[in-house]
Amino acid sequence: MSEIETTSALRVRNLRKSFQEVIAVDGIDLEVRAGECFGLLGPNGAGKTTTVEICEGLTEPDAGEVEVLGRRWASDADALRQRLGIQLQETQLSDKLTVVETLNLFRSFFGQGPTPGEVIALVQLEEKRHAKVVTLSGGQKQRLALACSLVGDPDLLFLDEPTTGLDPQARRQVWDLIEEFRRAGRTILLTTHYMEEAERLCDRVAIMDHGRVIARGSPRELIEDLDRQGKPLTELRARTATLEDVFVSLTGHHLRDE
Amino acid sequence: MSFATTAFLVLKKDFTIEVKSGEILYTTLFFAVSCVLIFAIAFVREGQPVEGAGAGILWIAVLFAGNLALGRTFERERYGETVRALLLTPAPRAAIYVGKLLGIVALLVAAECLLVPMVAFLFDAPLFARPLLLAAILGLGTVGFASVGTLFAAMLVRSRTRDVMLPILLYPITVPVIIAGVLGTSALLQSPADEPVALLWIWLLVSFDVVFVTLALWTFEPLMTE
Ligand SMILES: Nc1ncnc2c1ncn2[C@@H]1O[C@H](COP(=O)(O)OP(=O)(O)OP(=O)(O)O)[C@@H](O)[C@H]1O
Ligand SMILES: [Mg+2]
Repeated sequence: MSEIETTSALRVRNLRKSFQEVIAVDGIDLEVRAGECFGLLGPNGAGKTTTVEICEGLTEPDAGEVEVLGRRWASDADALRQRLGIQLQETQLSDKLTVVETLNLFRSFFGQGPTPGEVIALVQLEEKRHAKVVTLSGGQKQRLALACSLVGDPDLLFLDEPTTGLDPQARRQVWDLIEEFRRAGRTILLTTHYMEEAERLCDRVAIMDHGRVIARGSPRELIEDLDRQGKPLTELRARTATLEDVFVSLTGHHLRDE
Repeated sequence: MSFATTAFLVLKKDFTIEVKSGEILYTTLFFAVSCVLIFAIAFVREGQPVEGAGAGILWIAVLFAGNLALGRTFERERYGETVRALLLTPAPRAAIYVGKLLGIVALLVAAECLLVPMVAFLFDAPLFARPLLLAAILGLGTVGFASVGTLFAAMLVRSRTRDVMLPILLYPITVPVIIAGVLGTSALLQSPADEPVALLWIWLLVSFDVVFVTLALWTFEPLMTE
């Protein structure tokens, strides 16, 4: 693979996108290094999904450059789609298809990758193999969506709020999957509203608000910065700040006021 | 991943879903049949149908049914966002369009198989006098209408932005196809059937179809990215 891929999996420069009057993304720069798990955080409407969908080639930016795995959407869309795994925010799959039919369909579009049976085992949906999607619980649907994104053996995985709405166990399962994927040397860009998730999974994060990146760095760095500034914490606690405190102090919002 | 395989997989997906639910097929068929029955009650007096009504009624039933089928099919896609998920895979996008188009055409052909004998019987129309010519006119007209309809309906599911103007555009754009279909069918229903005129309309339909399908294949990819 080319040299760019060993250093940077995704590079975004001066990205802009507006919808009518709403400026969803207002000139952001991002770099995701190959092999890292990068978190995009921000309150509702910050522009995370829009940014991610531009990187996924689903939305056309108004301005700015996007380089994914060293390639560009305009010239290499087909080659890129073979290498990416994408889970949309709230992906809905056909209700009437079964788990295995859904995965067969998605698998058949990729030139390489694990068999549907293997990914079903990976996300622990064996018992639901022949269940229709409509009968799955929210967490099971989420895991099926994750399975669909893994079916092409991607180099770069986009996960838009992969654990929203999951129970604690299901969330841990998804975390384990993500960690395993990362240990295999792959790259992940995820968005999340859960700070403990970002702290645990992400090597680096960027916090967005109103379409801009307002802070970036490793979770540790951001927390240390906050401690140094001595800003008041959201709760009375003896221990040091968390990423949640960083977030609240920067955006003035609570994360879960959905 | 070849073009044809992808189109086939998309068609197969819709077919699998339809076999399980039967929802769209039955709604379309019952709707088309009720349509013709209502016209029969209104336009057949003392066993004597209004002259030349058959062609128009057949096409109205096909168009209404087509509209219903398109709406239903893509409502399901919108709810299930499957098209959106498919757009993220390396599947050739134009092939996704062709797969959806074939599904709609198959549905309408099924409806036509029911409608033609009904209209022939209720309106005393000699629809079976030139079966091949009639099949050509119906088939080409259906492809023309469905090709534009599928494109527009797909644009409606595209992402979160939905342009309400599009359905309003569908009918004006497909009007030439509808006129050609109705006039071609009327020519066949005359006694004796006016074959040269019917053939003329068939050639017109062929050219409409070529233009519409080419344009749709060409614009589907850019239209699917915002
Ligand atoms: N298709 C669209 N049409 C109009 N406005 C849009 C569209 N998509 C996004 N927006 C607007 O752009 C802004 C950013 O939205 P986006 O979905 O990127 O936020 P987000 O950070 O993903 O939020 P959340 O955490 O709720 O998922 C919002 O104000 C939203 O209303
Ligand atoms: Mg979002």
